[in-house]
Amino acid sequence: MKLDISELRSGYGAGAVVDGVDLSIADDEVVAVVGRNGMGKSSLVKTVLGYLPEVQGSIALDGEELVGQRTWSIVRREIAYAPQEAAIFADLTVRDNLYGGLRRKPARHVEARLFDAFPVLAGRLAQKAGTLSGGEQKLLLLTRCLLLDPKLLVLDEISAGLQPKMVTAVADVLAATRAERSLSVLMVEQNVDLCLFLAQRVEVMKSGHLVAEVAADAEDARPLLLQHLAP
Amino acid sequence: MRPGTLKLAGVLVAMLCAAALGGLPVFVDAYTTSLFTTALIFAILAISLDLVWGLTGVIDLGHAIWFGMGCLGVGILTTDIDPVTKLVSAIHSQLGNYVLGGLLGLALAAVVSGVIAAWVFSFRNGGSLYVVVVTLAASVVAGIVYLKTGSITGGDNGLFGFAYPALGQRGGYWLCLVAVVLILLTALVFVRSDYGIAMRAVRDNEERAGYLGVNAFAVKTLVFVIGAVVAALAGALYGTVTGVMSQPLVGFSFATEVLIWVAVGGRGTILGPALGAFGMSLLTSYLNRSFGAQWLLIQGVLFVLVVLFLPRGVLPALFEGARRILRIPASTSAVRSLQVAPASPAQLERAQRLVAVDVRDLAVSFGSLQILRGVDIALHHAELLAIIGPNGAGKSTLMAVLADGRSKVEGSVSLGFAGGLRHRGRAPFRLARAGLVRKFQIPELFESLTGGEAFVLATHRGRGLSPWRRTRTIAVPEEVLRVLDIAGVSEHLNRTVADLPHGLKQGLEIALAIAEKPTVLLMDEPTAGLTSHERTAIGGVLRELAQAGVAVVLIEHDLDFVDAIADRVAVLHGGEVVHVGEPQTVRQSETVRTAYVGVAE
Repeated sequence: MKLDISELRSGYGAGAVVDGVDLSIADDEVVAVVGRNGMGKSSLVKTVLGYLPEVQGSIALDGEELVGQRTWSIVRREIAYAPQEAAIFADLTVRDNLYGGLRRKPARHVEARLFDAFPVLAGRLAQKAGTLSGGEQKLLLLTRCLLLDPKLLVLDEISAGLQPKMVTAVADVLAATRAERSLSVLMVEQNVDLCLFLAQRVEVMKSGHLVAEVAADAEDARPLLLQHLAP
Repeated sequence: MRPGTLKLAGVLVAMLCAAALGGLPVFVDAYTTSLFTTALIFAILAISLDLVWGLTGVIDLGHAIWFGMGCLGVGILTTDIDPVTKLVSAIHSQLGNYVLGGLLGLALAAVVSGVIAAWVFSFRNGGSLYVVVVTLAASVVAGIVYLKTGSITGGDNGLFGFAYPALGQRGGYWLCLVAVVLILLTALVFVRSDYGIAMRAVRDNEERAGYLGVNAFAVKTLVFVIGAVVAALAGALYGTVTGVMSQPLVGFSFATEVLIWVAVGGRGTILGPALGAFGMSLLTSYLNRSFGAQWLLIQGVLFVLVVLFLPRGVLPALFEGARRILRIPASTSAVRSLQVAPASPAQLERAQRLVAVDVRDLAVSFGSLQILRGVDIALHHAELLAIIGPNGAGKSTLMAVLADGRSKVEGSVSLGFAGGLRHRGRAPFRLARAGLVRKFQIPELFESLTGGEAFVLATHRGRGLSPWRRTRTIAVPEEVLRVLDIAGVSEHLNRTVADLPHGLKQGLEIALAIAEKPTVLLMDEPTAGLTSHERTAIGGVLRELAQAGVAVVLIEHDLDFVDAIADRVAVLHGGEVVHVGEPQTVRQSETVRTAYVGVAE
């Protein structure tokens, strides 16, 4: 699925937080957005999902304009979104959290892959999601997204709070999913290594716009990114 | 327009209004004067409810009871009732009776509201539902008791004719006007004080306020009693000026009317509810004559419209409109400007008290789910202990249990050398005041507070929260300033926390925890969501805190980071401590390699 963002400005009512962003994600491409705090990364992905009250510019998904549409209508276009805050339903069971919003049954091998990677979810399907720890809730979010079988996946700091082993598991699951079928990913991430492993391109965001682009396979990609992130 | 000019304009408008109101009875007839008198008294009543509901978030459906008590106190001491007809048979109109009666009503309201508040707010995790149910029941009971005690309350007929004759129509009006102005000003100073911040913090997030050392129970109880006493004062004025007391004045429907005034005026603003009560009670008096039966319906529709279209009330909406027309930037409108400055060495020293934590054989379970078992761990002063472990190992639960002595646990947690301070049964605010401070995993601060205001709460230990003074500059340890700079929060301290991006909230939470001058600092994943540079810099600050004597506990996932800053590392796995040792030893541990990192190094 192809995402084209052009001349995007958005905010919460008191000035633009995203201030002139042009970004294209090709079909089956993974793009990571990095940057210091308060630079508008989360606001950028929230704008794509239709959460911000004031939006100018264009967000086209396979040529169809998303600006002006409501969130519920946007996510019906095979977009899955894992927000930064662990947005789970604490009083529902893990199973209901995972399967409650599905419109069609996920493929057996997709389920198997996810539960193999994150066994804690498989073991606690009948328990309330609120009893999961902070890191486990992030895994729940990702699993819910992937069960939806999306064409565009939007991840906001999915690795924050995860132990190293689970960061690897997340990377592996995403890689395995992408090996099988086309999946575009827009990810906001602080973990530079995860960015470089998954993404083809890393965009650096500063004060509401994208200031640099680093190809992940460039030899000096890692030091270059760290330099961009330095204060 | 400059803020100074704006302030001057505000004061001028207020003075003009006061002058116009002051001169009113000279120009209008006695009937109009009496309507305005009542409206002024109801403004006081609305202010009292706004303190309780608008500012502190406690819904009081029995607020009319307190008003009725004040009025009844005056009525009882100034009237005699014929035991047969239950009608007022004589009036004692000496000034002393009015004063004594008023005081009696105030005292009764203070005692009864105090008992109800202390009882209701002592339920743990009760939320606001208990208060709603109990005050609703209380107002129904009050109505029944009033009717059944006719020999002193007049029952169905009520008490009447006991207005203080020496005051006269105009005198009564002016008395009420002076009372409104005084109470309005006092209330405005009160809610803008440091104590006012604690009230709003309790309203926004009671649990979190506890971890900053705020005793939410005390705040809610005190404000509830203050609200009741001010309401009783309004009642006493009402009795003195109008000379009428009847059963509906203590009842539920009058209480809901007051709620509507507050909501329509703009709860939490003090001025809004006062104007709401004043305006709507006048409207009621006038429209009742023209519309009669329909007025209740009109009032209901009006209320629904306000809730739908102006959820914050009329006054905030008016201010917002004026702000847009005059093009005043939002930040200067209501938010106070606060600065943080380094503390002197003496200020730092004052809070230093020795508390270290000794955990013995700790076990925690939620229902059938065993989270922690047999945890033995000692936290030393001047040491940075990192806790690592797989997701779901029980790390955050350990932090939660350490920071809340009321948790249901087996085993023991003792604080200080040789367990000098009690841990069991102590609420988070008490532990926070003793120097044990917790930073939560997920930043979750108070919606309506600015970052600076949160600092007023975080640093109030040892000096209390003044009910009148407004802190403008807060002295904080130098480390706090550095954390604020590192995380880039410094320039956002006067913004409402709810508007900050996640990473800045995270930085603010870390800084707040350090600002509490902890002796034990529990940091649950402080660096999640920060860049690697910010993480390293904050690690340096934590390292220095440990060197200064603080026992720092840090939950962290980045092993390289842990290597660089920790003195010891504890590995938690499946609810048990499987390894404790220096950072270098951790990577050799088999459990860590297989369960945590997931790769053989």
